[in-house]
Amino acid sequence: MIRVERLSYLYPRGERAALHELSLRIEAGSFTVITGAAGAGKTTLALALVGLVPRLFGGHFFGRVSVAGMDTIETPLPRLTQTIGIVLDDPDAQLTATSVENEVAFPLENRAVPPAEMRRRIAWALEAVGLRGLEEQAPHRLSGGQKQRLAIAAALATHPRALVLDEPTSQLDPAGASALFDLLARLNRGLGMTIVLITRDAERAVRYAHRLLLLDGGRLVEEGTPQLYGDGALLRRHGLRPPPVVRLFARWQAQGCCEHLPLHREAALAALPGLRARCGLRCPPPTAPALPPGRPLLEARRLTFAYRQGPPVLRDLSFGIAEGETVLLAGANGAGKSTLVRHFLRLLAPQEGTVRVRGRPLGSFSFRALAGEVGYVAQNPDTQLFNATVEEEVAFALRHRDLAAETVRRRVSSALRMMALEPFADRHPLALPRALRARVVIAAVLALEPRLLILDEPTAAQDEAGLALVLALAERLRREGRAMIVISHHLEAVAPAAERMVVMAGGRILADGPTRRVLTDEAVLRAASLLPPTVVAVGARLCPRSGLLTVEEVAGVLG
Amino acid sequence: MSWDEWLAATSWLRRLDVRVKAAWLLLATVLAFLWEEPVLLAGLLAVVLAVALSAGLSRRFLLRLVILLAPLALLSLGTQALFGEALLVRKVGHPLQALFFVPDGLPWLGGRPVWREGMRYGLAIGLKTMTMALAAPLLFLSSEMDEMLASLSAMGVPYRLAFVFASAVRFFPLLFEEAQSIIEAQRTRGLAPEELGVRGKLAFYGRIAVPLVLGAMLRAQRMEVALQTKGFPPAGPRTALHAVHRRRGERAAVAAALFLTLAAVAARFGLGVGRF
Repeated sequence: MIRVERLSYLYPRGERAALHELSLRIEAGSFTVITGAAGAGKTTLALALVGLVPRLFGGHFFGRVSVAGMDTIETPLPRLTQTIGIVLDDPDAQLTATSVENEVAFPLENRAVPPAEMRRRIAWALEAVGLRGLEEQAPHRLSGGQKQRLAIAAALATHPRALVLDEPTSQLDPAGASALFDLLARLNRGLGMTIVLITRDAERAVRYAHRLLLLDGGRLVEEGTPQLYGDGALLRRHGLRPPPVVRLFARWQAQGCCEHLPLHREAALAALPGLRARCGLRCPPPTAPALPPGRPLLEARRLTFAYRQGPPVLRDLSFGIAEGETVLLAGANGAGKSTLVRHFLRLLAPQEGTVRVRGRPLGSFSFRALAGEVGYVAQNPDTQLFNATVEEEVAFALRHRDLAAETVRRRVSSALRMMALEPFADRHPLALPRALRARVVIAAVLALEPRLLILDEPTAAQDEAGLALVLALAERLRREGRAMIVISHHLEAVAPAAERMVVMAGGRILADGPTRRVLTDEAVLRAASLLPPTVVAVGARLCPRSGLLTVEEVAGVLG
Repeated sequence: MSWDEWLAATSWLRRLDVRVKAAWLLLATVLAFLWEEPVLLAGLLAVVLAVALSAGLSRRFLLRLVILLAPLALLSLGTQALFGEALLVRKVGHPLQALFFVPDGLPWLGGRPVWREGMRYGLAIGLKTMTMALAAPLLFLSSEMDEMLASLSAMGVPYRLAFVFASAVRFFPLLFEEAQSIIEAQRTRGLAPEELGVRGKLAFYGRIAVPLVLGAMLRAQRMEVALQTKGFPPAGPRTALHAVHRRRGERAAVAAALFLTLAAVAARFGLGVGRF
């Protein structure tokens, strides 16, 4: 179906080749997962498969890519994209129309499909992705998962034989991501469509895959069955962190408790009875609750809020955080997390209820004063960078606070050190990779020394080292009597750093308590359209009362 | 301005054909451009405001627009009242009448006359600007991109050109949202424009430009990728899912607006209606 022969590509003004002598074959009707660390060349390969590289970007292109026998450079794009469709990571960037129906119609109109045939295909495509009945809905009103399914429907309507998806779940909550993978599996098994899924986090995808390809530095370094994903050493060698379920079962394999490494949740849970029989079980007693928190820092009482003409996003919600606490705030897309946090920053005023910071009504703070109490790092770093160097960016807000020059220097240097940004102090922030840009914004907020730090999805762009730096903040702030709220879908990564977890759904708090208890309560998580991380689910099956969170804790219960 | 403001208008204006709205927008813009008489312009602005309110645009949105434009109107009032003498003498054909003199002690302006005609002409410029700035959103905030595209195509505008126009219109509120999120990011770092002096405010808005332009470029590039994969621009003629049918009343409304536009031009240059 797809053949790539000795493909090398250099972006205009690029310093090194994004793809280097890359060759591969993808069979018709297969489900292929392509993975690799950031900068491995995954997105460039995706764009090359559909002919957008080099067509759209220019640059130097060597080698050949063909889809169903058509050369991707010589074949006109409208013809090529009838055979192979692409879905990108950002659903908002792909939607061009103002109703669901028109969105799916747009590629068909461009290909002069007659209206009657168009209506038939729109109905079929929307049915396939589960969006029937939403034809008149404005795309921007859909949830993240629905938007991504709409983008797929628009691609499906042209009846492509292959579909390339580049990080399609990066902005989805766990339930949305699972639904999307199920849809891809149905398209592959039911319609025989060739699926090429490009993702950095392949744990959930390998379950459906026939083949796995591993890229590094623009080269294809390994290909084979999905079992490759169980080779921790291989993944580490190429900059990927082995998935926790693999690390867990590798420990048990080394102890002789199991022979095979399950690669995904279902396989891991299915393997448990055998493990218990072979190695015996020693469940630790539940960990004692954390020390009582310090003085209240922020208190929100009975908040209710609705955006104009919309249903309530917050419903009579109360929340508080005390000095020394770290809270993981979780919930599906649209649960109300960001709206809640915007109330803590005076970006939204409650329609009902009150917010107090250290006993004072929030409205009595100027923004200037509030920035020293509550710091916020939004998900997208690029809206928050406007200075010429990293150092200036971190010092920027401090220079508007009448602080002594020595104090500014000290705080900037400390914030740069905490985020390991000293080597980049003189660089332009926007010239740095996304992971570093995100850390620059965190450092800029840390320099203000807020008593409460709120991080919105801080793990998304981070590699292993960056993630460790971000999570180490929790311990540091706790020691200093400050507090932190982390909003994240990546429960596995953040949970060990947070002693308290709050789960939101439909503008209400569904659960609020010790992370060990909340994260192992599968019923609560499912009600909030969340899934417990695989390792936590395994721990909860083996020792339901122990509240096990990490690979190390769960590994310790066998043998 | 937000997406909600743009699309949630389920009013009579929202149901009107885009071509009708475009024709009446043309009339309002031509009148605002031609007329120089403040009383007429005030009446025109009142009509535009009445249409906006009856169409369901929120008072808050209109107030924000007025607040945004007020400094410009005041500037034109001050400039014309104090410095517009040469132009105004040519316009009125007789010496100007001083309303009062700026007190002598005031630096730069002390002793300068404040012209009555200048006040009126400055007011007229302010009213013109406000009318045009308030009339345009009535079309853009009440018409979806797909509608605009279909109507422009039905008028014979090449599809590619119509698409570029409609996309630019759609881009505007997105850009506004992006600017809002950048401003919010600065607020959370303790820099709120309302808490800054004039110089601080200028620097504040200047800083928004970098991430805003960068974001717009990224968005444009992503959109281009999305469009190319959807077969745009089409290689040949394209089909449309929904055909545009114009009702008889709407044809008459377009004709009336075009007739009134021509009549206003003729009245202005033939009879001097609206002249200062």
